[in-house]
Amino acid sequence: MNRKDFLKKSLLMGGAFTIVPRHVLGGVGYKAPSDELTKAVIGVGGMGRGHLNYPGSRLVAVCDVDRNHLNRALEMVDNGVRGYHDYRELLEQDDVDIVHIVTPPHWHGVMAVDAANAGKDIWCEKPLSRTIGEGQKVVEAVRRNGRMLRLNTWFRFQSNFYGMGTPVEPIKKLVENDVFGWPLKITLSDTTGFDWKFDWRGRTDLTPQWVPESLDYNMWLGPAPYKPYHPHRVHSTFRGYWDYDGGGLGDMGQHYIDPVQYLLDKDDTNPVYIEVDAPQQHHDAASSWRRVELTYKDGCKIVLDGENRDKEAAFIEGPNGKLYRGFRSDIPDIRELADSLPDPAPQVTDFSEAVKERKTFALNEQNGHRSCNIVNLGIIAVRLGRSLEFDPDTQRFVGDEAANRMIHQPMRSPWQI
Amino acid sequence: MNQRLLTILLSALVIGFLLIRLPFAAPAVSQTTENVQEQITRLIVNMPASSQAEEQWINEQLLDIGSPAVEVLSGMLKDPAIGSDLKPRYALSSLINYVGRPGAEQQREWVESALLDELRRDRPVDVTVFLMEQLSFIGGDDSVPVVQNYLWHQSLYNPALRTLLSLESEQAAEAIRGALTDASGSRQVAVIKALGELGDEQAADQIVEFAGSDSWSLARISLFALSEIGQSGQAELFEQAIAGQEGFRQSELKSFYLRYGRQLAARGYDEEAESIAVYFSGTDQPSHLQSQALELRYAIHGQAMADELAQIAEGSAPELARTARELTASPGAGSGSGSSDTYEDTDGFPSDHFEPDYTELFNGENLNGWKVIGDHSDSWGVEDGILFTDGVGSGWLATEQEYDNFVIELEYRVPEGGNSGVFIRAPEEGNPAYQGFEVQILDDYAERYAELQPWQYTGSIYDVKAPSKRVTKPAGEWQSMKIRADGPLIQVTVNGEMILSTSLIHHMEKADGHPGLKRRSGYIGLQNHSNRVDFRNIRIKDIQEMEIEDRR
Repeated sequence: MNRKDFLKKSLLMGGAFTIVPRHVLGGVGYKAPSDELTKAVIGVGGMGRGHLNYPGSRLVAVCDVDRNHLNRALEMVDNGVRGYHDYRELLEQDDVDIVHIVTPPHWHGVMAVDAANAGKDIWCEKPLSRTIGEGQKVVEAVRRNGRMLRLNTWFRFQSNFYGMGTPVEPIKKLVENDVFGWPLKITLSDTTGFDWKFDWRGRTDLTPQWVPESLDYNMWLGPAPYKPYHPHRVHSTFRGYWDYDGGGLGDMGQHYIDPVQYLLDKDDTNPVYIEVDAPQQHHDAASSWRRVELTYKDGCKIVLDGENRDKEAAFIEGPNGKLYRGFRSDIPDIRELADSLPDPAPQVTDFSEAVKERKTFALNEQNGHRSCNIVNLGIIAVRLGRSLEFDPDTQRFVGDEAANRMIHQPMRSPWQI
Repeated sequence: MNQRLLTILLSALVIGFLLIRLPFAAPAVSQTTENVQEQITRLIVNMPASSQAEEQWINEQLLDIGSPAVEVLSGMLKDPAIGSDLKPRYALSSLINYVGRPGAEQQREWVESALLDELRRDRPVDVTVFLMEQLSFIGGDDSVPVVQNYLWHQSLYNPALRTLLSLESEQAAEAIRGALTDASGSRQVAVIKALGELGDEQAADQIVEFAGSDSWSLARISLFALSEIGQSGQAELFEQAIAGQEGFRQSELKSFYLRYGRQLAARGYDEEAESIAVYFSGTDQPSHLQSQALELRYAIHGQAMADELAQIAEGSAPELARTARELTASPGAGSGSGSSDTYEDTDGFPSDHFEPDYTELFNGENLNGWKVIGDHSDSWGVEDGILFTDGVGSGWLATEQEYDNFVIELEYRVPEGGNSGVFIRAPEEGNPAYQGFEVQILDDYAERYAELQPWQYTGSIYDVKAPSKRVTKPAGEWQSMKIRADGPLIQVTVNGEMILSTSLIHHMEKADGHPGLKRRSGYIGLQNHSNRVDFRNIRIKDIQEMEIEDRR
């Protein structure tokens, strides 16, 4: 009998019913292409609850260290979905194919590596990792375990790309065919349609508060350094603290910057020079910055313009032409030109397909790590308040010891990566 | 009369010497503590500074005050449960960032020393945590003995370990090992983890004792540490532990065992590593572990496995096939995705790799693009792809074009006692070292140059600013130099290390006697200073001047 019949029969018999591991049914590691995939979501706060209904897989479990969040999520889903407090227990469940990591960024690295080592495929929120070093470990772990990882950003392959009012594909065609010349300068600012969300700022006046009984704060902190509890440090406003995230740059950076690496065909490298203009930063609370300029070896530049100084800025500026917000250009008939050009290389854009057929997804651990590095380069430069030179091949800074100490940041015991 | 004059002159010189601030030294306290407190309170009242220039100015004022600044600021820190200390926290973290910049070694040293003095005092826990966190940015060997004392403190051992691990000091392992003997509970776990992360082989014998512990947290972290250390002969420990666990615990131990295998392979224990790979290679193993085993075997055998990999890549196990394909396509550390201990700083830039954005200034054949300034035009020549001066006479070789903002890369070779330099933004007339400015090239090791001023050695802006360290090779060897002139920002990188990064804005007090410091553009030149000096692979890249306000 096939698997469906077997399960139905067990239910009818009302006997002890256990989930039969997939690998037992079809051989070790076997996933029949026609089988439905399953997922579990770690972190079911605001963003996490959005993941519960992502298509392509059936939800079997949720996990959170805040009992209120966990209960609220369980109320929203089918009765059969299980709840966990400790993600490690969730990782040993045989009926989970894909793990969604929707915790604050300081947990992404450890959880992604643990998930890969437990044989799970991964759907990870952005930014991929809080530090460059953790990103490297994620790439290694996913690769050596033969796992699939996708990031929760998608603009390089679908949806209208913010102020451009168009998906990235026609822009990629124009750039790929050298319409604007080379090198290119890309500006991400209000003018070009990108909001840097400086509202994600930490408070500098926190006094220690009692930890609510519903929250396991020690587990919430995990690898992050211990700092006395305050509600502003957790649950959505964590984005304002360097220990867990990177302010607006950490929150939105990868959404905006990943498609730019794709456009510039730089998925296997990173900028070599980072310049910054920012007010003095607080050692714990993120705030705002005015400008970050990242320059590649060949002269291409990404300008993050937080103060929106240049109201005439083009999104893409090249020696032969410019592309403005709304897909306007100083080159006539840019639309028709884009339409006439050949399509870019195809990408796998359905994660279920990627998982079932073991094909590399469009935005995976390797190119995702590279675009996440840019976010982290910006954060390091802003925090240190000086220009930095970076070697993209060794992934270390040149001549700046303090910056290099921010690449691998030691984790609080007993967490390691 | 002469005697008196001489005495006055000598006294004036001595007093003058005492009055001139020696660069980078911590000045003696000449003010009362109250004055210092007032002064600092006034200085930091406008923190956070809105621009880097402002922040830098405040830091330079604090550095002028010296170690009392660190003392006073630390004294102003409070336990956040009791009061607010926002400005001193901004000030201290900014100061630490500032002295952590390249080229500020002496400043960094004495600020570290002052911070350590503060850490020796009794302070609220939160304040100590803050100070240790700041120390992790700039501390070195000297920090180890002070931070080490906090390993025994129930609330501070984690921050102490974090700081010790950040210091990149070889003494850290020994200091942490000292805390192993009488540690227990979560402190013991934390110490063992740190020793593992440091790869401290000396601790392995002690850690092995705990691998079989009944306490899961202790056994687990011990096996993690051993997997990082990679000492031979511990396979059985792992296998026994794996047999005694299930679920996530077991899967975690398996990942540690494979990590151990990789470490063994990296250290050349091929046979032992191979057994571990075999342990995980059976078809009854989950596919992700089989993948790890395949990677481990590839780490051991490399290209010798090419045929086997090709077979697996075409085989019927889809996940394993993919891993085999990936290993063949980009073995190990491709695209910077290798493990962290394979990352090394580059030693220099490849001189045979031409980047399309650079223009060759020297064509390898003749002096096209250059003109000789001064009388000795025949003292410059080209042979075998090398541009050289034979040292006869003096003068210099200038580019035909003028440049304003650029990055120039070149290779040079000095003989024993050799002396040359690169002139930047120089006019044709006058002494280019002062009408423009000069980045010095020197045989730093020659005996006759042993007593020079710091700003006379290789990589310095001559008579203006010293390099942060010596990275030159001995005379007779080819060396690389890269100079970035971006508006007033000048950065010099020698043999792959940046040893000077300064803004000419900070040296304007010298501009009267050194007008070149104010020039925006000019010729680039090479100096003839009386010996044979060779150059090659000279290339330049124009850069747009950064349009940032208050860039300094």
